[in-house]
Amino acid sequence: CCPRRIRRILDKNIKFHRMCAYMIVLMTLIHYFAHSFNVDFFTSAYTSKILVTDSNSVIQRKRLVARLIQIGNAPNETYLNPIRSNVVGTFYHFSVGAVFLLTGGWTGVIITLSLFFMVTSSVEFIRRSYFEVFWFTHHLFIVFYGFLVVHGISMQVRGQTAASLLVHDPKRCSLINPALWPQNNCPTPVFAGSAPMTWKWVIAPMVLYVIERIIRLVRFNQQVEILKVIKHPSRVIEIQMRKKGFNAEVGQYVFIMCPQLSQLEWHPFTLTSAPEEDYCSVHVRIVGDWTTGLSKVLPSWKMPKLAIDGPFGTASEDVFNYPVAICVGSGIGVTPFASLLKSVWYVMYKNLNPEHEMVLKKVYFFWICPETHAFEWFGDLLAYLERQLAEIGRQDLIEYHIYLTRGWDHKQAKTIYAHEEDSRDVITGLEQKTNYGRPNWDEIFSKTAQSHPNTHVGVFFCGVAALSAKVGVWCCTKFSNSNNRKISFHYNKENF
Amino acid sequence: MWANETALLGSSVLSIGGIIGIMGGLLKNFMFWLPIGIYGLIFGIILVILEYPRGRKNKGNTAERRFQSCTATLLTKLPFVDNYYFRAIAYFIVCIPSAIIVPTLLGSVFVIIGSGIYLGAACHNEKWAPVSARTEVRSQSADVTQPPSRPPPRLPQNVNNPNQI
Repeated sequence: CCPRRIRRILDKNIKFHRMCAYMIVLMTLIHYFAHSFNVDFFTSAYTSKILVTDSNSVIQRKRLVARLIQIGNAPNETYLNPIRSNVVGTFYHFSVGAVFLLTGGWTGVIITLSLFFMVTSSVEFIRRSYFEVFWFTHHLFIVFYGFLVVHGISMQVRGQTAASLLVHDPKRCSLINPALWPQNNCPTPVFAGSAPMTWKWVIAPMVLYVIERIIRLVRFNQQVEILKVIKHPSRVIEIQMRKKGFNAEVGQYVFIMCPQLSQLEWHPFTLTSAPEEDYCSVHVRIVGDWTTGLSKVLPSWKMPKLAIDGPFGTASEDVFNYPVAICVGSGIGVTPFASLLKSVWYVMYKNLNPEHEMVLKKVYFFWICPETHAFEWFGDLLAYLERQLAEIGRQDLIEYHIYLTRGWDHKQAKTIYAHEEDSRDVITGLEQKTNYGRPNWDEIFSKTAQSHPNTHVGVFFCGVAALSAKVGVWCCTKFSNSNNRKISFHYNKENF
Repeated sequence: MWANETALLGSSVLSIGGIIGIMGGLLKNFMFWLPIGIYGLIFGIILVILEYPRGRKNKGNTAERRFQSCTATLLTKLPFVDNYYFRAIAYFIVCIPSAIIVPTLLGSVFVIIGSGIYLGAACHNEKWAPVSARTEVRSQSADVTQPPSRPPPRLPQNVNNPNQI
């Protein structure tokens, strides 16, 4: 529906979330420090005494302050200073005390503390190593938004009303001794507070979020039928499931929850099935507590209940819109491309009629893997696709290159060069030989630029951040519009 | 670990609060702020230096902060700093004087929370240990810095391999 440029901005949602958070932190600090002066003005107004050594202007100011704090005590009067107690010396009259006793104060304390916990637990170190700390403290945003909306409810930031300004000119009357105001045409000023405004800004996103959580609750109650569970040797479980009304695009992901293991944990997994298949599958690598628990309850005679929330979209959905696509996956980051490659085959298979040509003409696929054992299920998939494409005569559609960056010892190395001349690769069994070492992106991109002038090439990446930075730099800055070939590379990155 | 993050952020906010306290303290109305502002700034900076190096995680590699090796060597030489009980109690005591004026109140509350988390960590017998150098990446059996002593065992007709990029 929307043009590509706008859709690609939505892929950067987490970056936007972080930018908003930094801005909130900065503004909170500024807001807090500004109000610390304000609170001190309010409290020190009650303890100011006129000294013998004061000059006339200082005496006038102190008289003005003394009068202003009194306004509001008589009936039918409105007050300016939100601290109303006249008994000097109570906790209210210390500025720190006022911070906790003013409504704006203690709600502000709660808001700032929630923000503090959220910010300190969101740094990458805590997210990567102690994810639960991050996850549960981040839910403090509910407290944050709740108290933010009521932060101004007592209307403690006050000023003269417009009507009062017409009859009592503060510039003139502040220079006149307040005791002489009635004679000098300065009637008692009328004050009002400004109404809370924040709710107008945050109400729409809050409603959207509540709707999303309701949708998740509805999806939780929908039944998921587990069709097959396959245990692959490389500590990977493949789960094939079916749910009524579930439609996914290529490369999307879902959240899976198993109430038997944990009521609170929803874990994201990329779908490895193509949309054309009548089931949806995920490949789960067994790494931590939840996945180990999952491997123990599946498969069994009585399958545990699973709930799926999703599907959610990622950058890889756009791959069919580009005439040429370069897909780079590192390690487990190859999973979105499993779905993609399968889908490409299905589309090809259905569209042998040249009238219905796809936009996508060529896919270059790069899989960069540190060790051999992770190959296994994906290697099988590639071998299967290789055969299927050869059957319909379109094996030139997908060109794939596998790179093994480390993880061979000298015994394996001997085996590898003993089988150098085999037609099939000794590790994966594919026709394309595995390359050893890291890819030379310079050569790869310049060769692609030469083979496909005047095209938009979509580069899709899912993997570690360090590699993403490298590939992103190479593709976008160095090779777009180079050598007048009018080729442009569009970089899309998945969250890894 | 989390205590370290909270105390670091708290002490940075304390330093900023100290600066604001000093700036306000120079005005006539807020003279009371000046000594507390200076106190807040000095102790804020000391705490930032103490908290900046991240301790070693119990298992796995620890991601260091940038340039933390400068202050980490200082920390290994100071006594008591690796004991989290000491950190908890010391931070609590340091923050009480700075909690009496509003600008530094924010930073002190944050550091006190950090000290509470340190107390919890100390009860779990955690302590600060310097991050050791990363374990060497498993190297190949052949030393790649030296040129190979024998030619590769490839067959001579393998000149134009179409599978190579």
